[in-house]
Amino acid sequence: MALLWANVVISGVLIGLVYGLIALGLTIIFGVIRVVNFAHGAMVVFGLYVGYCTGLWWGMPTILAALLAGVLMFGVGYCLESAVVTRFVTRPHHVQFILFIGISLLFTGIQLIWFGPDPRPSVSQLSFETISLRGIRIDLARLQAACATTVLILALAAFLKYSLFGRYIRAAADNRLGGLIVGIPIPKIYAITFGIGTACAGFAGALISPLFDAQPYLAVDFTLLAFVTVIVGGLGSFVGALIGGLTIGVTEAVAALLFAPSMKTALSYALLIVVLILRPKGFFGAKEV
Amino acid sequence: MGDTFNKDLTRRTVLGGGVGLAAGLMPWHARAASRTVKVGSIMPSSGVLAFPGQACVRGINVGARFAKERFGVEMEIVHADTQSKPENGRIAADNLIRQGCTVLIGAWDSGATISALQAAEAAKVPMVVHIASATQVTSQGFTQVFRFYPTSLTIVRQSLLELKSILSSVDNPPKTAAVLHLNNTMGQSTAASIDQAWKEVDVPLKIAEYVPYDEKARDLSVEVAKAKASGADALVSVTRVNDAIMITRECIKQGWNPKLIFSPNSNGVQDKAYYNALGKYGDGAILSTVWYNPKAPDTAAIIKSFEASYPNEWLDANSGCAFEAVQIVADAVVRANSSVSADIHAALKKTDMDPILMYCGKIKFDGSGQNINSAVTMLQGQGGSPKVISPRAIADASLQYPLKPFEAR
Repeated sequence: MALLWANVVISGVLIGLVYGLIALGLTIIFGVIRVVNFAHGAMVVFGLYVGYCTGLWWGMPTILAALLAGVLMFGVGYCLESAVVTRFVTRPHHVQFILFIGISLLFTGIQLIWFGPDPRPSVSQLSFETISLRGIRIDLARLQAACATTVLILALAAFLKYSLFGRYIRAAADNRLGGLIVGIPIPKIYAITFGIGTACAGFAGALISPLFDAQPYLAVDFTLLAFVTVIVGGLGSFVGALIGGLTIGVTEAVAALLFAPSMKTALSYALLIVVLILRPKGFFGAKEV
Repeated sequence: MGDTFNKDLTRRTVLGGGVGLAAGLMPWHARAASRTVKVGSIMPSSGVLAFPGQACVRGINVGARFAKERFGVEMEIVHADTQSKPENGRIAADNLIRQGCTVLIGAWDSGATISALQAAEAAKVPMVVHIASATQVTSQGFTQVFRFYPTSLTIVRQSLLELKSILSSVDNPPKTAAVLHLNNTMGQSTAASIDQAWKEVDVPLKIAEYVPYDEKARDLSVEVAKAKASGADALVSVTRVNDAIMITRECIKQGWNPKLIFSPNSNGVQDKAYYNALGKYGDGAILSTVWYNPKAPDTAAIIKSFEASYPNEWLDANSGCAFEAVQIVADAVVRANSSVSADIHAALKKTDMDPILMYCGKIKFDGSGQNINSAVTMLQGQGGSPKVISPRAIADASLQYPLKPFEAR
């Protein structure tokens, strides 16, 4: 029994870190530009397809596919922000919501045209591999994603803290008008930040391709998952995304063991409601980018 | 008399008589060649059920071509998409009826089927249900329904009889089973049917635990861990394709090698996506479903025609049942000699035809519109594709038991 619990909790921690990775891009974009990217899930799904295709065609290792997806999605995000999103930054929230829902539907439509509606499961051997430590089995794909999440968060935090561009981004997040007055190229900063956010989504998508089948309709699930994670952790906070993901992952795993497994998704939403009541800004809800 | 005869026997009379005689001597299928009927096909072609929905559309299209050759019925198929939303069944049916469809086929999931039947009932347009297993489809008093597919209880009961037969024929059979099942309408209905039929059939296997899981679950590691921890040495799963893949992956990752994996009324072993994802690990699992008869006279030609049209797809249960539904409609149209809904409805009630492709007895509908001679087959993944292992009369492979351990593959 103890072994079962240990396996379940470790599995919950690892899947929680994966949830944190999925939510990271959403929180970066909100933290700086203050727009809520409802197309986030569709961008994660693009990453999934990159992971699927590169594995199928060239047998590319998942981590390389994730880097490629990150670069590609950075380009997509940069162009999207420069051409479209920038015009909506100062518009009311409901207009922004409609814009991003439209973008999400457009992306899903493109994925449907390119790949069709069928689920495309990873052909990577990684999706079957585990390591065993004293009876505890650790899923290698999850372990890799969890390690990559930690490294990515540390790298992003260092970039924001120590690089000039990072300081510009933090200044833009703190005070847009003040940034403009002192000569910070805010439109460019926003485009790069949006690019970083979408790159994180693409990176996450490719990295989790051994775990989830690529399918256009997953976009809504991923968007919802990212929202629940960042709301629990605190919108705009890296650490919040990580802690939010861990909380949901472990809660789901333990709830599935204690109660009926079919209740676990419902319980993650119940947790969201509790957090919204007790800590409306989430665990780390302050501006922290 | 002779005058009268001479007077009536004009060139036109001779020509008309000749045409009539020729028509009388023509083969039956050629006589029917001019018959046209507008058929509405309601499927979940997009949304979460798009995978089976599109397979059904393929079956309808190939079936319509076959019906033209076999029955001489020209079918104009109008496709409608429920977008995988049950409430859209009625909207789709209404639209098709407004467009002039005089018979409908659909709608894959029970919710959409019942919704579509409400519109069919109001307009008195018959509907042939190719797939939908909920009892309510034929128990709510609809007069326009003709369901080819068996109810979930029928499928499960027949499947368990087959399972019992398998268990009695193998050495060292499993002792206990864990039941992992979807927690949606289909999964709950099938799990309830398993619970009921297990005792009726007296399967010599004890159920250790039922583990329901959410339809949208992204991760089934805890569910599989629970099933494994129950100590069961057999796994009974009620799944769609994606979760069948997830469950197998988790079994591999958690080092669980049940002696038997058996999936009644499910997807997985019968689907190409299952083997694409799992490769060698897809072999060995057993699934019961309504399947095509590999030894039927037309099967090889139908598969060839299907593969010519869709080289990257398989003829599966979804496309097979849709194909058969088209033949049921064509047969009724020929017998009714009409494309009017009421005439087709009357003909469908009297249906008594041998199936063209699918394995079952003569297709006949009872008073509630249920096909009374439906049958299930047992498939086992072998060499990267599903093989029929039971019933013996149509089997194209033998049972492989026990399941080869995953790490030994």
